Amino acid sequence: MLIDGLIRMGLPLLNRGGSPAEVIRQITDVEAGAQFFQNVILVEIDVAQRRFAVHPPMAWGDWQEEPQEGGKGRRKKTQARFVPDRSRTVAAPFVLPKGGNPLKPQGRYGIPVYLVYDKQFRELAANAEAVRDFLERRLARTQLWRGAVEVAALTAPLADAFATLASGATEKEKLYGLLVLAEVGEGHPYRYAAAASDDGPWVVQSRLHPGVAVCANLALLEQAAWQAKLAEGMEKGALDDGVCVCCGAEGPVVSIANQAWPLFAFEWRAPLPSELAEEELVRGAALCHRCYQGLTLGGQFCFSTASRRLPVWVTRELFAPAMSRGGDTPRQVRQEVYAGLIITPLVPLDAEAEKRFADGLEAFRRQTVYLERGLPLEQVLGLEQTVLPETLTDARFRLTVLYYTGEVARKNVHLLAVVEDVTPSVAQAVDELLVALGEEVARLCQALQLSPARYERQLLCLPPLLAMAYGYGYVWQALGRILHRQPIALSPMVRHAALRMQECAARWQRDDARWAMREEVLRYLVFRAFWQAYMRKVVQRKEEGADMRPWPELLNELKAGSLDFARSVDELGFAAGYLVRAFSRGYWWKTKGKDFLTHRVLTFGSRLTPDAVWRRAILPMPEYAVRVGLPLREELRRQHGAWLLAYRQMEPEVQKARDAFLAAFWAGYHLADSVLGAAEAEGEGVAADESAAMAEA
Amino acid sequence: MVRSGELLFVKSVKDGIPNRDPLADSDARRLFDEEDGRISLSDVSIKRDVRDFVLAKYPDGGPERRHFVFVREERVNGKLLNRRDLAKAIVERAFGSSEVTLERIMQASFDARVFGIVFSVKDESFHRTGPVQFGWAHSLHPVESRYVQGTVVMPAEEGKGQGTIWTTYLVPFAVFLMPGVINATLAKETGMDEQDLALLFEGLWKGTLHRQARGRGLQQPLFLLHVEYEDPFYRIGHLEEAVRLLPDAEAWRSGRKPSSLEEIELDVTGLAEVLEREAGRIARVRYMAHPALRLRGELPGRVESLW
Repeated sequence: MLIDGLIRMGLPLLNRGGSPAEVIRQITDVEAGAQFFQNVILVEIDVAQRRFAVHPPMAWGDWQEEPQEGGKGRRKKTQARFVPDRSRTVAAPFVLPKGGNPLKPQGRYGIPVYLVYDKQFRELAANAEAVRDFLERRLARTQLWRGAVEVAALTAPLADAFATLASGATEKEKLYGLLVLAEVGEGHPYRYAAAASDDGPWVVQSRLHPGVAVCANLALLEQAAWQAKLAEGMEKGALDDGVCVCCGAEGPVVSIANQAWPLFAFEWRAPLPSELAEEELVRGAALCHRCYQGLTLGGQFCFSTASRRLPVWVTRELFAPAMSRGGDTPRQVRQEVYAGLIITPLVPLDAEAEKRFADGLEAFRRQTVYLERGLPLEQVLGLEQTVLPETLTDARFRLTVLYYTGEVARKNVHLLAVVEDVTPSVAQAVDELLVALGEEVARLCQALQLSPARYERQLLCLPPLLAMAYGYGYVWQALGRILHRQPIALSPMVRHAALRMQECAARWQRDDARWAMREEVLRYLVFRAFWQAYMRKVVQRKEEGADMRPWPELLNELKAGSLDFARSVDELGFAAGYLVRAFSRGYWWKTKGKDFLTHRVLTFGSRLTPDAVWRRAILPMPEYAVRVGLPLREELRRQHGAWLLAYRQMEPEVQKARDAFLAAFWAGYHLADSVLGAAEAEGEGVAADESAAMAEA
Repeated sequence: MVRSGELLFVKSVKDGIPNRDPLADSDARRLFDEEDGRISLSDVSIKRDVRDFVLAKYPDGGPERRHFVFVREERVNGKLLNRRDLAKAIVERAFGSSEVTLERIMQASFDARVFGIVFSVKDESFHRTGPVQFGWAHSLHPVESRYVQGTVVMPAEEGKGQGTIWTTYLVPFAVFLMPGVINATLAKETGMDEQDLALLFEGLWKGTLHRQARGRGLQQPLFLLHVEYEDPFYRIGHLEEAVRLLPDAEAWRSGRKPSSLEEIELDVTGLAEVLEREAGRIARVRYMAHPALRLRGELPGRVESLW
């Protein structure tokens, strides 16, 4: 149960405690709603003296220029981004509205800190009546408000402050701001102090008492934030004598349908029991106050701290069609995909282990640079620059990985996939495979004359690799299987590779299609290598259908004149590609630059099939050789004869596995150059010239 | 009186996907793994076919004012009506009064009687489970969707010098089988009767033809079987497992996939055996089939003519 996982992750965080500032950042939206600190209107209220002063609008942060992601060929632009002062923002905690009309009061407020949107700035400007209405409706929902001054007294000066901000803004500029009614005094959310401290950061210099600072009372602010959370939880009902569905505790409970659950939108009526009134939902399922707090922290951790937006290039690869090169046009990314993590203990932990677990979660939260020790999650899950701290890779913990689209802030989350019960050691093993696969990518790129930098990201990150192999419709299923050490299939990848290669073959006369074909060969062989290593090392099962020896071995044997290529359809196809390429090098030279495939095999738009390879490419080789005056090397002659014989014997198998034959054919064809190298027989010394010509093109 | 029973519905599609997955770039819905390769249509989408047909046939609720459709898209001044307003509109048209009660909605709405209803608005909540439950329609064979592109002569924005490129996934040809069950006890509760049952079958067949859109492809109903039981609490169950499509999966994975009705055959031999074996419990079997569909095997029961 998702909610149970969130609670099991959240409770150790709750038990661990942490500084009030940390907790405030976790349970409120001071981080997510940074833009509201651009315009802070603070009313300093001295509770003891019942006096107040409205401070001039402030910005609690700075504007910084940041480079913008530019498209291909575009100049890098910069954009200004507001970066809030984190030490100060915890002094004005708020929660962003989750759905509904954000301009209206929503939920509960811990202390009088209210969001002001652009439209409201303009409505409240110089309109004391509107300010009064704004304040009264929100104060009624506020937990900590002593009312040391009359609301009526605040309205006129506040209306002026709004007017100042609104008049200074252009029509196009969107204003975001906060209104803070800071009640200052002992036992109140703010206090006068000579200097700031860790639990009382500086907020502003007092206007009522020059020379003195107004500092926050973070312990009280944290308490108020929890009170507001609890009050929100009670909106769908509360009981004094209920039973918690999660831990079984008896006592005060709130509804399980509450704002702490990141997937729960109040407007979303479908899953709620239709027989219960909204405020009676607590009778359906309830949580005790502790589990509710655990859910709050767990939800925040999963959907904020441990949540990452998948990079645009990953999302683009995810949604790229697997059965087609998609016209080779870069596709627009239609939706952003996020990944989130739930980390849970497998068994109840003793106090010390629980503390270590919570410390691990905290280490995860604090990671700003690449941690050295732990499980990197970038390649295996697509979470950029994220490492699971070593403490959490213990066998006693399990991961749940969520992939979702939508906006967490608006509780508008669509789950794409939930992969539960992932053992960190399995993720670690897969990660190691992907790291090792880097060498294979480098080797293949060298053999295919491709630049590894261009392909590494896509081929060494598991979600895009699976999307390329199986198509988006199967990405999450396949990822789930891999993270659970289950076998995965090779044939769909071979099918997709063959389809894409067929597209390239149809445009064979064009140089770009030939380079595209090399890319496809790379993808095909890299996934094959991943699949073989995964099945052997992780699943620990002899892979059926891995009917091809490693390509370097095959190439070297073929180069040495081996006739052993009838072990499988794949190897037969690979050998065919090798032979055709070996022959076409001489043909190119003897015909002064004619490509054998274009000239003799893929003529008049004919498609390449196993039959065409046999009938049109390999069978007539000796005849073409005579026609163009090309002497064939002895071992090539022998291999030619042996291949024809093998093909005749294996033809029924080949017809059943045409995709495997063709994909391997193109692999053999393109890799042949890497071993054929310089001339051995006459006419072959120019092969390099042909490659050079291609490279120039 | 409606008896407990089961139904099987087979339909085909050409050059489209009748029910796409919005979270998978609008490709086909894939519930099975990559080796299985089948695609699926949700029960909800097929119910939509039935509802839209009934709406089109009886826009005013029919002669007895009892065939309104509750789950529908209706707008007033451009705004979508919500549950309460939809219900109000129905009872006003059916009874001339706006007092919404469960009984009134059940009397007036075909889909509430057949598929059930969840009505939950402020201060008013009720639900009835529907006697008819469809399963998902899964293709009877592996399906490879195709990714295709084309051009539009219209530019996307004003001032653009050329048209746009469109891309979509489509399925050249596929055949789906949907199972369904009918529960006599629930039919009593909702008031579903034989007339509703007949309209349901007509809706399945004609709704498949009626609800068209380019992206959904050209759909064709092929086969509809209805089995009724003597005992309201009995069901053979999973009849769809006794039906096969020929040629088998391997042919659909090959380079020469079937692409027309001529090239396929619905093998009901296993289904016929099951029905023969259970004959003692069966009150009635009836079925209808598209003339171009080849059936392998002899089914018991009555062949009904198409509408």
